[in-house]
Amino acid sequence: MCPSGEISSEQIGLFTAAYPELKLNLINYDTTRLNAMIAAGTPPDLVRDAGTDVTPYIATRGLALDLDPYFAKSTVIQESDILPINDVWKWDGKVQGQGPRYGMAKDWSQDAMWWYNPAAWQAAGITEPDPATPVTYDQLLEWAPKLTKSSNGKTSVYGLFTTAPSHDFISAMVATAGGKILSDDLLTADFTSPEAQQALTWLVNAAKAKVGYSAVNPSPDWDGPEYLAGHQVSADAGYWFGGYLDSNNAKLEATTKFAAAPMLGTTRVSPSFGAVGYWIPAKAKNPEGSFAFMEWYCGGEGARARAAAGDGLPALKSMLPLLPQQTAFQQQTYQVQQTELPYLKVLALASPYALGSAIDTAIAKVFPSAVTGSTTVAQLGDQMTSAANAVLAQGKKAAGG
Amino acid sequence: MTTAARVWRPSTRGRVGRKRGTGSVAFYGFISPWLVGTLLLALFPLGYALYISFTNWDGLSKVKPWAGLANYREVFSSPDTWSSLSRTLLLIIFVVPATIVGSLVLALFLNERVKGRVVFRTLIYIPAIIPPVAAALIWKNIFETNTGSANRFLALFGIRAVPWLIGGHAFYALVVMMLWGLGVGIIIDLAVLQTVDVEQLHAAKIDGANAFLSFRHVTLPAISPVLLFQTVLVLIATLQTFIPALLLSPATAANATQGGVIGLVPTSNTFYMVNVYAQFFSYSRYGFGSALIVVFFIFILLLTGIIFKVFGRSVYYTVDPTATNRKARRR
Repeated sequence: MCPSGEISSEQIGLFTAAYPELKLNLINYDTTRLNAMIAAGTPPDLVRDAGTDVTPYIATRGLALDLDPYFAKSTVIQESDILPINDVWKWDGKVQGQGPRYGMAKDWSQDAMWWYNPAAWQAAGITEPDPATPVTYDQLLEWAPKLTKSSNGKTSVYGLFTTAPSHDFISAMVATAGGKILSDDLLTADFTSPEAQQALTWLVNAAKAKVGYSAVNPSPDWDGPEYLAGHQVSADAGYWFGGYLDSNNAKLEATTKFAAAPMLGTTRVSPSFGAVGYWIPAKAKNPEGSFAFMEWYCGGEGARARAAAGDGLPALKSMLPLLPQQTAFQQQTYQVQQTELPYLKVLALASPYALGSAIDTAIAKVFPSAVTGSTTVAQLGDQMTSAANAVLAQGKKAAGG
Repeated sequence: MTTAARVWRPSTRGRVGRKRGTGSVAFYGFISPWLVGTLLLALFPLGYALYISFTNWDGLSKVKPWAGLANYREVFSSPDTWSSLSRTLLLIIFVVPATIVGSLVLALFLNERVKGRVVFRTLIYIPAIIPPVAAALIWKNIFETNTGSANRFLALFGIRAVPWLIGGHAFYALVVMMLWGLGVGIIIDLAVLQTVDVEQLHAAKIDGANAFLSFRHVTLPAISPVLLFQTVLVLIATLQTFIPALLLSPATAANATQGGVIGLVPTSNTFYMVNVYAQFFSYSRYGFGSALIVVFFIFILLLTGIIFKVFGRSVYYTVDPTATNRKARRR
């Protein structure tokens, strides 16, 4: 189960040529359908998810297969070759990053990084930022009105990427100011800390300024298609976006640059909040076949091809040299990525008691009132804390706690 | 009476019994698809939902912790329940009368022998046969703030672009989209208008009744059973509004990271069933979601009963059920 179109027919052909005894049947990723399939006891054989978000939740509920015995037997993936980012797929019952492995990243990125069109900066008469040096969120908000093109209530070009009050995004901002959202026991969230308040103030101001899509003016799509269509001068995405541009509109590579993750505070942190990959449901009918695909796609030929195309950073150390560096665009993205790597940090984003999407839905509900001015940022922080903690408490109750 | 009923001739009893038996088999045979469907797809899920409503099940865990009446207490104490219900009732105030009256007015117009009647009938019915997803996409494109034709039209008069699909505006955009599909009601009204006794209309005309009086005293009573039926159906459908609200929202699978799919449905369109969906699939609260459904089921049942009780008296039936029963007994 994965988003339609993510695994190309060419990749399917290559896999089935390598494993003729296995037939690959793709189901479009849909959380509602996944829930229904799991509840009915007939889950898909493999599920695509973000390791940073789901691992404690699926492991605690016994939904995911412990893959340690499979990795121990693997001839394709060596334990010593697995990059530490894959540890987000580990859970020991209390700590993410320790214990058995429940999945593996297909690729990963430092997801708070961003992409921009330098021509827009030049046209607006703004000095172009140095891509390898982090800008501040305040700088982004200062530039955005000058980069936005609006007339009579209509906006043809937004000067800022989409900003959403998601706990991933807020946690990434807060981390650069030395704070955090989730408690160490993963039971509570706190949006009232000074760092969180600073992040919320910025998000509210960004939404009020109408210089980019936001929770009160949601994007009709994600940043990729909007950037391709020229509706945005920047996009919020990690390294993988370079591969996306290459396969969707390579011409834009000449006018796009990859930049370091912005900072709210003074601590340079560039988190990964994805490590998107695959897990195998405990009730999968063919776990051996599922693992064969996981090996091929995340650590074998499939992964090699994607790494060479720049579709995210590979999950294995041995594949890092495969990252493309032929064109000027590829060299720029590679260099910025290399500069950014030392600042990688895996943030505590997941709780065994609630999926990130549940927390995001709860906090998104209370956000608009702060933009319209009905509530202050301080009140918003209180409301978001209550809403997120209610979701976590209900999840704990459901887990029998 | 009891004794007389028992004195049946054996041959007659046998014949009647065989007929009854054959009839019963045929009867149950014909209704079995519906019966099986009802049992499997309505009663079983309802019973299961009732059981789940007493648990804190998250839809995925093996355990279903018993919650007793806690979910029901929360249904009645949660501000989300009341706010979503009040929005749903507001939607009913807009949609139900407009649908019933609008489709009747248009049906009366299309029932007249006007030039181009067939063309008008076709044009008005076309929206009703457009799949809801396609209809929602059409209206999303029309109401899109930056590129939509609604704002292009307003711009002709120098009016600033309106963000139709977000905030409070989204409610009115939804009402417009829902009223666009009046065609089904019009077809039903047209069909029932054909059954109005022409002799009675002529008699009314001879007695000096104008068009309004003829409609008020002849047509309206004649079509009142169908209007009651339509009202109940539209009311129930509007109470259960979910798909149109979701489809008209900016939510897509691609932008779900901006607040979850349900998080992107504007507050003004967060109706009761949207809240139910959110509880199930956003918050994984299958127990609480089931309690919301059970309460809503009872609410709709009571509301339907009240409507039949209150408006049923005003409905004019051409067939006297008592007379039919008398005939049946004589036979």
